[in-house]
Amino acid sequence: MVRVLVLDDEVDALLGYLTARLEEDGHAVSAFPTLAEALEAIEDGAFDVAVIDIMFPIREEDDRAYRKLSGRNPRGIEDALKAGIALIKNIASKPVYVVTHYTRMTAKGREVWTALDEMKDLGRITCAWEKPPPDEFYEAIKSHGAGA
Amino acid sequence: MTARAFLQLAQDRLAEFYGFPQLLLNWELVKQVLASNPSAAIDIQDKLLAVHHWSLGQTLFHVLEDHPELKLDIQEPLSEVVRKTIRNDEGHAWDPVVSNEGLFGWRRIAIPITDLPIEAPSAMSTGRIPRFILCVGPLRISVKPLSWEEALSKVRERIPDARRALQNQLASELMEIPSRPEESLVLRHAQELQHIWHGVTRDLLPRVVIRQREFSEPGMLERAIYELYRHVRNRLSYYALLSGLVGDLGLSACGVLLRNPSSGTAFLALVLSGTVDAPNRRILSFVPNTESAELAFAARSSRDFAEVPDLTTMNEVASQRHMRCIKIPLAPVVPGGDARLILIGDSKRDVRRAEDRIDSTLRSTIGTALRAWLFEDNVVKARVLQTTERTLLQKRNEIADAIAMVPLPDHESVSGIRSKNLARILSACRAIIGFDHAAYYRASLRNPKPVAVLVASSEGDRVNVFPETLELDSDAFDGLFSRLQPMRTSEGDSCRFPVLAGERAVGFVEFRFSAEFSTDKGMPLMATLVNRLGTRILHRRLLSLLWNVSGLLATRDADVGRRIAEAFAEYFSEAACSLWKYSEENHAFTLIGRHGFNVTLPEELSYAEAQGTALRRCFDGQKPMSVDLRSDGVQVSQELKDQGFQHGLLVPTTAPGYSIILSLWSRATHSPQYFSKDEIGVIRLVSLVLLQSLLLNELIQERENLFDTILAGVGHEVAAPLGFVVESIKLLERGRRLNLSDLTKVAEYVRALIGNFSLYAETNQVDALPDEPQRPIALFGGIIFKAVNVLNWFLERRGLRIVEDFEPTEFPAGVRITAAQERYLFAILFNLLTNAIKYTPAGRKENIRIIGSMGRNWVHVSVSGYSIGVPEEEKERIFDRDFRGSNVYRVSTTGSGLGLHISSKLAKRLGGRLELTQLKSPTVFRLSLPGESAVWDEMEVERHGKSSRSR
Repeated sequence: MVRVLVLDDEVDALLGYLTARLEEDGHAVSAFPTLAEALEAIEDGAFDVAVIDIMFPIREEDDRAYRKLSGRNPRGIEDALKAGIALIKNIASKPVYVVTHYTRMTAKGREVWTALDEMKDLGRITCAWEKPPPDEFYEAIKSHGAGA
Repeated sequence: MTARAFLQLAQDRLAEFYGFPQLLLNWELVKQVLASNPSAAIDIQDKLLAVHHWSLGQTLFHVLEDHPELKLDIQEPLSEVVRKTIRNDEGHAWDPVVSNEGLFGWRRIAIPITDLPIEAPSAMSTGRIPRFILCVGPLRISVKPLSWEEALSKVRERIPDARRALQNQLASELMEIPSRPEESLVLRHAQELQHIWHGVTRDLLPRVVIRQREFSEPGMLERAIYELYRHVRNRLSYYALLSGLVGDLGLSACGVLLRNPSSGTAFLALVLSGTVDAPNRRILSFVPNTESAELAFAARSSRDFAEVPDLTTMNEVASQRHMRCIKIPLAPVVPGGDARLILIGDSKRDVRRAEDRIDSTLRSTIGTALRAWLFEDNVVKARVLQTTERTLLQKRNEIADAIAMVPLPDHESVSGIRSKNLARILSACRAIIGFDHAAYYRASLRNPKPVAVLVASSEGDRVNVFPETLELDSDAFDGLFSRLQPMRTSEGDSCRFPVLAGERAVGFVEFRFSAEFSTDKGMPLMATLVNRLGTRILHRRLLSLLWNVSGLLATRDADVGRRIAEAFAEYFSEAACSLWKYSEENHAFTLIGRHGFNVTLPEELSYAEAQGTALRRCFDGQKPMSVDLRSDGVQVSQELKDQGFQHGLLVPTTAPGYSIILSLWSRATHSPQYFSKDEIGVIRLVSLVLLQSLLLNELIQERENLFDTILAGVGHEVAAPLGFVVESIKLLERGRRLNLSDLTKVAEYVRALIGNFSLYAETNQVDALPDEPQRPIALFGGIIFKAVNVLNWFLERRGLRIVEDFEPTEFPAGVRITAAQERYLFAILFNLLTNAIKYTPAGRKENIRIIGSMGRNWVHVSVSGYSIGVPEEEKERIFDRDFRGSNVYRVSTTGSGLGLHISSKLAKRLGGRLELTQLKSPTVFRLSLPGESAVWDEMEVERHGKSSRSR
């Protein structure tokens, strides 16, 4: 069993099914849809693997968490991307998997994927996939199990 | 014809013949002489108000040899003018020199009529020298009404007229210079050409007897004058010969009568023997008349000479004396021409004895001498003249050919500063002009200390004769680039000629000569070469500018603005250039690029901030503006002044919504015509291309960004529900039980979403609604219900509800619309409701309300939701394409920025409008559709029974 920390705001669509699939694979899943909750869970450290969406909406109640992460107040949609990256930086020494709706087809998507590739090169993230993630993603999560 | 009319005519013709702008005679003096002795010759030897074309220097003093005191008197003012002329590069003005008192109380005036710069005294022997009208006159016998000051004033008035005439004459020569040379430039060329054409001296002193006569036959007067001129030149030789004969032969007088059948003139030179106290008396008489000349030539005695109207002088001299005429053959040099030697003695015996002594040998000697004086010398000179003119013309053509043979470079070869083509031209001109080496330097005025950079030098030099760069000291810079004058250099026999474009120098050519061939000789041809090079170099630079700018515009180089500014500065050979763009949308000036100077000015200035600046003044004036940094009260950066800039030119170019202001900054001083209209035209043309290109690039960039944003947004919007579907199917495959109706709802939602984007494409591409039959559609029961139903999956996930709220009695049940209009209505409601759901913060559970109401001519459907609201400052842009509120990051990271834009367009297509009626939560969007209630009530649809219900 792997303790999986899922950090994704899309509770209405994907998160539920991602969680369901991971649970079906026998993992213990903790899902957190808000920035403040996600940060708290990271600080708590009770997980083996983190699965995170790179973009996080910053609700008003998340402002404090954002200030904590980046040292300033959020200002715009660009900070939603920075929030995800800041969260990743806070996850030290744990495998991090990123799932995102961004594709490499668009300029914005290429920008996001460049950042992800850089983080991968730096060893901050283990792997990144477009949503929905392929079976390979679930296999990779399994590989972090005790028997792997 | 009266004597005065004749002299007036002669004066004009003489002036024309000798190329004088003005030839001035003292008519009062002439009139006085004529009045006092109407039948006598006008001997103006002593009383002439001398009109002289001074050229070779020494000839003036030949004229005045009989009056050494006058020579001294004239020498001083003349020398002063010469001195000023040859040192004009020191900045002396071209004022005439007037001296009030001479030795005899005469007044002199010396007026330069040509002013070729840099004429060394040594050049006088080459024929390229300053030319003057020198007037010396005995004021005491000068009669009013013309005072000297008035005469001077009149001469001054006439000189510009003559110059203008020369300009017209040379207009065709100068036509090929495309930059519309200003008057001063034309004048300079005119003077130079005039100089060449009339470079060899032809002086004239009408100190011979002229009788009045008609000169009606065309060319007659000119031929007569020319004949007279030749004899005047030879008079000293005649005198020498005759004085010798008088003394040797013991005669009281001796003369020589010469006749030229081709001009129909005759000329008599007489020497009367003097005494110990009195020198020989010498008389010249001219017979400008074929009939008189023939009579004179046939005369054998003093009685015969008395019959000749134009030779009364001879009659006086020979009267009471004895005379013999001896034929001296001049043929074959002059076909049909010969001369008469006239011997006059006090007795027959004296004359006969003298005649005996003139044997055939002496006759032959005299004949040979006369031929030499009359013809051979002049023939040679004339041939030299002709050859010189022809050679110059030929050489000019050769220079033109040498330049034309080298084609203008194509854009591939225009790279770097060096030009092989110019080197080829300089090499080809080496043999034509006679220089050893030549190099073209272009000005590099970017640095505070101006530098010239070598562009091309004549080929074949074994060593590098010319340095790659030359530092220009202030004298050289001022002379070449401000005063635009050729300058000698300190290195041997060499000089620099500025290459001119209009009133500006774009560079210079340095010529170096060996000792055998001096700079002076090459001067006119060097001027020809640099003028032609100026034209060519401008063409080359224009091509280069256009290639550069078009090439740069095709790139996405971030540095493109600076490089275009650099290309402009290079084209105009100016030190610095900056390019600003004004956008009406932003009401601000933005720097496109800057080259050649370092300033700390901001790169963006609002219209208000630019108040008082040259930029703003030029933009407001919408016309080219010249700025004098030393005196104009225009606000410019102090740093510009600190870096030595003196003048600027700003040129605005405007297109709808945008303007470009190009400014060129110069360290040289400007004349008013510093930049020609053609050059300003080039700036405007290229600026316009630049402006259009920038606008096009901006548009393309904007469209690309928009496409990218839309693609990303749409992808994101659709990917989330599709991800749900994919994951659901995977779970189903793995045997998990799922609620399949969820999948159906998601599919419906995705379908509606994609249909929405299709409508965007449709509204962009199709102008009119399709022509379809109308059918009745229930508003709430049909369209609104359908929209809410499609969003059910979304609503459930977010835990929200949609509530309908309307008065059935006040609101129509349905509408009669076409299928396309139904799709539009559905899409509008779908978008408004989707936004209401998406932008409601997590945790808020207030209902989303659909409110219906009826106005007098409008039906209103509003959607109200407790979303994050719209910031006040963004309400105007909320329906813009690609616009997303600045606060959306609070609730959702996805969105295309298209929903409200599409809805607004669709509402307009339906003849209605979509408005944001309440910004703060609950945010309310209202759709208004046209229609009277009576029309709406015609619907055969069932009214809704409930005033409020929920789904």
